[in-house]
Order: sequence, then C-alpha cells, then structure tokens
Amino acid sequence: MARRRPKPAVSTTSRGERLALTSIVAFIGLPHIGHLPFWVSLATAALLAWNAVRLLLGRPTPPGLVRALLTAAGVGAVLMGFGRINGQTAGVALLMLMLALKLTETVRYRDVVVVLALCCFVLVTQFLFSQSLGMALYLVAGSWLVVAAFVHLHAGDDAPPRAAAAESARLLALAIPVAAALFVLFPRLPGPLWGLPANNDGTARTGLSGTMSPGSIADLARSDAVAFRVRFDGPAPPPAARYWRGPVLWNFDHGTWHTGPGVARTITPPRVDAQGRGVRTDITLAPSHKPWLIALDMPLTTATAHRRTAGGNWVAPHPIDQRVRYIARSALHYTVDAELAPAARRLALALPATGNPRARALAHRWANHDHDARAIVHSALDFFRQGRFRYTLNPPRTSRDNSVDDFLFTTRAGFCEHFAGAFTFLMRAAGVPARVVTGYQGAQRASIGDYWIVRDSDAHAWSEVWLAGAGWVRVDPTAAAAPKRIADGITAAVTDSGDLPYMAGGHDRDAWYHARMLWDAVDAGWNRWFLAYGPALQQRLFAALGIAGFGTAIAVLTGLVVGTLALVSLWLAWHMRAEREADPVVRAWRRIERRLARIGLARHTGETPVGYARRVAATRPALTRQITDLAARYARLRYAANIESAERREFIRRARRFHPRRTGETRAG
Amino acid sequence: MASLTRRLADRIEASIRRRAPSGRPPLRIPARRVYILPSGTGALFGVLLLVMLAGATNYGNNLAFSLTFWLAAAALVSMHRAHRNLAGLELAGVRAEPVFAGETAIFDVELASRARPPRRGLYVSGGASETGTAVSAASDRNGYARIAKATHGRGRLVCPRLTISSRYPMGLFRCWSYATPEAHGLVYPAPIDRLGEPTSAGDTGDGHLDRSRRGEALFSGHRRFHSGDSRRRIDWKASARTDELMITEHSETQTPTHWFDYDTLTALAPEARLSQLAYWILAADRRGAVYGLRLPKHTLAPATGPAHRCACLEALALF
Repeated sequence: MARRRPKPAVSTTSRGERLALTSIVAFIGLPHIGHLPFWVSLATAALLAWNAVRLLLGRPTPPGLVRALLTAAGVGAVLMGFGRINGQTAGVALLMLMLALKLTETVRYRDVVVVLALCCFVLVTQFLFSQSLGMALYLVAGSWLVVAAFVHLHAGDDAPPRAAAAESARLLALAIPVAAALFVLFPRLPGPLWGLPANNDGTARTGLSGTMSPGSIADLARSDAVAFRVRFDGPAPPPAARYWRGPVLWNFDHGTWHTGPGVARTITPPRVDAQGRGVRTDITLAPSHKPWLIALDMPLTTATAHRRTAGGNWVAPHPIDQRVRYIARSALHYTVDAELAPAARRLALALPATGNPRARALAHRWANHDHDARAIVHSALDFFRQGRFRYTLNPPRTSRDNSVDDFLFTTRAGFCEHFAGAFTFLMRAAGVPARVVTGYQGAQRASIGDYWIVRDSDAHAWSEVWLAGAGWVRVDPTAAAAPKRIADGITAAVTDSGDLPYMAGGHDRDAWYHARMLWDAVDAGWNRWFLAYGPALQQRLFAALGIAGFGTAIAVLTGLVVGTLALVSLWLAWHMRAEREADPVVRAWRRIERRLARIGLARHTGETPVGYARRVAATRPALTRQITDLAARYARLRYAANIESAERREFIRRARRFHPRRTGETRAG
Repeated sequence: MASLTRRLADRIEASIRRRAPSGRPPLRIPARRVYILPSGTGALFGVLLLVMLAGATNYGNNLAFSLTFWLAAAALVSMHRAHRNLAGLELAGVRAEPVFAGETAIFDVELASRARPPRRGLYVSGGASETGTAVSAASDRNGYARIAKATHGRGRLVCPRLTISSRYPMGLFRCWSYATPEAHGLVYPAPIDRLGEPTSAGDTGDGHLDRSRRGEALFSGHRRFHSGDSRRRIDWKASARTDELMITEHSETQTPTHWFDYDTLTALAPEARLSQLAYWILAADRRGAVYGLRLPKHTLAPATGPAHRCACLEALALF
C-alpha cells in the first residue's frame, strides 16, 4: 500500500540496551549450565562477560576478523568436543556459543531481533532437558523478558524500560486465554517428525533396562525417583497383588537374562482369560527412554495404539521420552496360555549347554523325585524358605558363568534378581517351562491426593512357570526367602535398609517426608494434567466434546481464538478510551461533576471548581458542606505543590462517597 | 499483467487516501481507517513460531508447545494492541512558521493522546520527511512531529498528507493511517534585490529616510534600554547619570516614512516586483525604519516592528 515506509523504529541500540540484552541472554541460557559440558558453559559465560565489560568500558565492537575467528573457533570446538554439530546437546552448545558471539555485534535493529528470536529458541531447548514446574516458571520469566525487549525496541526513544516491562506483562496476560485454547485444541500429531537425537541418554532416568544381571535391579532400587503414579478406579488391590508387569525375559546366557530379537518372531502374544472384575488404573509414566508401558499384572488392555509382547506386557511404538498417561485394565485372576505352543515351550526350557552344574544337579534331583511340576515348584520354594538366604542390596559378587551356583550354594545373599534368576534356572533345569518377569512390586500411597506412587526403589523381578491346566503362574522366590518384601515393603525386608533412598524408606515420617509428599502432589498434578497431555489424551477429549476430527477441532479453535481476540480488542478499546484521564484525582473530580450533572447541576464551561461549588451550594444548601470541602481540596491538589499522597487518597475517597440526590420531592414511578 | 496489478494497487491506494480523515484539526483517526500488515520482523517471528511448533511436535514437549502457543497468542494480542495504538488518536493541530520561497517549510503536527496506557512509538511522515519523525506523546502531554516540505513559489503552502504509523508494541505488525489536515503555512516571496536602494526607482517623494537626516529627528526624551533596542541609540551621558542604560527616543511623527509601491516597479515582472518589495521590507525592518506598503488593491499604513513586517510579507505572499 504505502510505498514510502518509515524505517524501523530503532536502527541502532544504546549501550544500556545492549547490556540489558546481554543480561537477558545470560538469564535465558542459565539452566543449560547443568546440561552442557563444563567448557561450553565456561566459554559462553566468558563471552557474555567480555561483552558486558566491553560495553561498560565503552569499547567499540570488536573487528570483524576477531569475530570471524571466534566463530570458527566455536564451531571447531563443538566439532571436536562432540564429534558433530547437530544432535541435541551439540546443537545447544553451538547455539549458546553463537548467540553469545552474536551479542558482540548487536548494534542494528535487525541484529537485536535475531538475538531475541534465538532467545526463544534457547528457551525451547531448555524444555528438552527438563519439563519440571520450575522450568514452567522459567518459561514465564523468559517470555516476559523477551516480549519486554521486543516492546522496548518499538516503543520509541522516550519510553522508560518500566513501561515496556508493564506492556509485556499486559500482552502476555491477555494472551493466556488464546494460548490455553491453542494448547488444548491445536491438533497434536503423534510421534517424532524427524527422529529423536541419539545422545539424550546422558539425561535419562534409569528405568527397567530389559536385561537382568546380578546387581542391575539393586542399582535401580537405590533411587527414589518416581517411576509412575497410578490411580485405582475403585479400591486398591491388596499388597500381595501389587505386581506391575514390565519386560519379560526369556533368554539366559553368561549370567544375564534378556529378551532376544527372536522371541517376538517365534512366539505369538498370549491368550489371556480374565476371571472376575478387572482393575482399571490411570497411570502417568515418567519417561524411561524405553518402550515399556508398565501396568498392573496381568494387563488386559492399554491404549489401542500399543502392542503386546510375547511375555504379555505392553510396549509403545517408540521409546517413551516424554511423560505419558494411559488407562490400563488388568485382571487379578486370570489364565494365560492354557495351551503352550511348542516354540514357546522350547524357549521356556532353554538353558546354556554348560555352567552351574550344582544347580542342574539339584533340579534333576527334584525332577526325579516328583514328576508333578507343582511339586517341583514347592520343592524349590522350600529350598529358598529354609536355606537361610539373606535379602540384601549389597550382595557379594558372583562369577559370570556360574552365577546361579555361586548364589545358591556359596554366597546365599542376593537381591530379587538373584532369586528370580536362580529360581527360573532351577525350573528350566527340572523341565518346568519358566521365564523371568521384571517390573515393580508395591506402591506407596500419597499423603495428599488419591493416588499411589511407584518408585524405582520398588523395582522387582519374579518368575512365571507354566503349569498344565493353569497356564503361566506367578511365583515370587523372593517372597519365599524374605516374606516381608511383599507384605511390608522393601525397607522391612532388606538387611541393609540404610542403603535405601530416603523416600523408599519412609519409616520415620518426619516433616521432610511430608514436605516431599506435598511437593509430589503438586508434581503429580502437573504431570497428570499438563505434561501427559498429548495426542492420545487429546483424542479422548475430542471424543468427549463431540469433536469429530482435526477439521472440526480447527474450526472450533478458530472460533474460540477469534472470539477471545474480539473480547481482548473490546477490553483494550475500553481501557484506552481517549477520555480516560491519567490522574485519579481529576477522574474523581469528573465523577463529582457527572453526579451533579445528573441532578441538573452541570458545571458551566470556564467555571472554576470553587465557583462551581458556590453555585451548587446556593441551589442546594444541603450539599454546601460536602461540595465546599471537595472543591477546596480539589483546588489545593491541582494547584499547590508538594501534595502528600495521603491527601490525594483522602480526596478520592471522599469524592467516591459523594452521592447528591435529587431534591426532596419524590417522583412518582 | 504487471501494469494491471499496478493499476489495481493505485486504485486501492487512491481509495484509501480518499477516505483518510481530512478537515480542520482537531482530527480524530477512526478505528476503521487504521491499516495493519505484518512487518518483516513479524514474518521472521512467524517462521520462528513454525520452527518451534515443529520442534515441540517432534519431541512431544508440552512446555515447548506452551511457549510456542503463548508467544503466538501474544503476537495476536499485539496486533489488536497495535491497532488500538493508532485508533482514536487525535491530530490536535498543525502549524507552520512562514518561510521564504525556496526554503523548507516545517509543519509542526501536534498529536493529542490522553490514552492510558499511553500511545507509544508513533511516527509521522509526509511531504519531504519520508523517514518519519518520532513522536513522544505521553498520557499527560501532547506530542509533536516536524514535517518538512520544500517550497518553490510564494503563497499558501498546503500541509502534505500525513502518514501516521507505529510498530508498537512488538514490531510484528506495522499499523498506519493517513490524515489530510486542512492547514497551511505561508510562503513569502523570496527576497531578491534587483534594483538596489528604493530611492533610485519609484519612491513616491515623501521619501525614505536618508542617513544624513536621521540624526536630526526630533529628540523626545529618554527611556530605559530593553533588550532588542539598537545599541547605537544608547545615550551614554544619560546612562551615566542614572546608572541605567538609557536610550534616546525620537518622536514617531518626526520619523520620515518610506512608501514601497508595487505600481512604481514597472521595470520588473510581477513576481520579481514582489521579491524586490520583500527585500526592501526586510532591509527597512532591519534598520528599524518606518515603512508603508502600497499594493494595487491593498495598502498597509506606515508602521514598524515585527508584526508590521509579517503583515506586509503576508500581503505579498497572498498577492
């Protein structure tokens, strides 16, 4: 339209503004100190400090050659340090270094805009590392600063920074309803668009790994990180039934249980016949970077998009890198695989050709004595019950190839992986099909809120044996050796409970424990209602709202956004109406005038407040005292110097209470 | 095709300009006459939001979604705020100091803003001031912009069509409006001397003050020196007596007057005559002389002082 356009508001920035910009970048980059290698943080901080000192001393922008050399050095350092410049951590490192370098040459309007845009980008990268409530506060602070900088940049030279900060807060506050509508209704596409970077393992919580070797579960049990939180639809199942099914391990070599790639190909998912009413659970699972969807044993269904493995547990199509929330239905009484397929039987009996001779001999003895599988299981459990086994987080080391023998006959001390692994080995050696199940056992009731917490310290391993007529039956050898593990939790069961993490213990429920529980309730709400919201939950919400698909959702969203913006615009129009007087004292006096005008005593143009008051008093003697006082105060406030703010407030208060009524004669109607 | 789009653009622009508020100030910019388009910064911001949205989707990261949606919503709100920053703005007045032809005239545009929060980042452009001048209009005082316009001939100078624009608050949208205030400044004829002293040509006889007679003007008394008085008129003797600077006063009636007459300057073309008269008027005014101006339809009685000078020059400008 207009061919002659004024140039952008600000072409160059002042020293103070550049210093402020440097501070904003430093603030926004701060949490990355914990995510980046030390040298990157140090280099970034050094560049920012150099820039700040340079600006404070009034030194000019460093020459282009210096900047180019520094840029090349930054790229080279990242390449050498990470071996690449893409990927999550390497990319963030490069971004921070380049942003700090860019600050040294931010003089022009365009440079500042680029830096502010990159600041938004840095904020996003913060959330890839953490999505805690604290980061949400950071999001608020960061957005406020960036928007304030944008506002200041376009507010003209005379606008104080304070005004930009206030305008930024106002814009962001008015934006909340629209942002909320977008968050809930904007169509969420599932899954990664271009694949997740491989190098985010450094930040992963260690969950169930999918393999089990001596010590692996005990390591997990030392952490009181929350694995998942669960709500039961109805009463919670008894403690003995609180087994949470994770990956099922079929293969055993060199002391390690695992699930080989062949399992899924050779064995079909099991047939589960549920008996009795199932249990419905609402689970919010912390990211584990593994695909396991943990559910109460025996899971019947989870969300439809997921797959059941040969072991009967559920897996997501991708590793779980973000918190997910799902509904799982489980059966407490069930029959799994009443008929065992030959391939499954072969796999459930497979053992390495050599190793653990004494365990094999023991199993053969049981098998020769009793042909019934149930009797063999009982013999084994009796062995664990009477063998004076020690249940400990710190078991003695066992050899790699004879780990079962070492545990059963020499050390006699172990954690649940030792018991489950040895038991499963004995069963297979005795000819009973058996497999190892890893997962969690137990749950801690939250102090506040109706939910239960399952922590890494509840990680557990047990066995399942296949019995003719009964299918796969859960057998927990740990329960035989340390019965308190199931009834009273891990603290009561292990001999060295001092090594357990604080929240797993929870025996002395002091103020710190309750404070942690209170925080857990806040965190649980945050996870359940905010972080877990994704494509699946959105689909459920759309279904509940009767929104047919993304098309309808976009239509509804557009309507909501446009409607909300119209309200915002109306509010702005009202708020900024030209008649509005800046001085509250003047506003209060105008209100007096309006109220008097309503009873037929409008002020004449050019009439002074005092003269006006005199006329009002002459017409309506009853108002004399009030209006004379108000007019005198107003005149003083308007024309005298050094007015105390208390006096202003007093005038405004009195003006508000001034309600002249129409003259005595009452009007009909 | 290109010419067609050009013609269409011209048509649209013409209609927009036709609808621009016009008339005598104060002029109010109505909300419907405020135009708004995304700026370059706005386009960059849009790209940034798209990239952030892709990242948030890729990682299924709800805080990233929140940031993206919040900034997008803030951008949408800023669009309305930008519109409100101009809508309802009042052009309180436009004034221009008279200039001589060939000089650059400056229109002082006064913007009244009693809005709260105050309107900020306002730019006024028009005429030769293509880059626009920033206006600071706080809530309690008015803002001023200076609009330059080159002058060529004498006469009334019409205020150029003004473009009032702003990128406030976030710079993502450029908002603008046109206003055509009915206001003008005066352009005096350029003072050009072609004839030399007025005695040489067409003095009507009752003469101009020649230097020899000046001293003989009748002394009428002393008065205190005021700034602006000629130093040459200070009476040092009288000053020594009273300890104050005194100047001699001559009675007005005794001061001979000049008559500058348009009709006598037959040697010159009409515009050149006006330039010559302007030159003489300025010269006489500098000397503090008393002069009158005689134009064919208009006569200004002899007088002295800045007001008289302006009146004479205005008569020449509007001749």
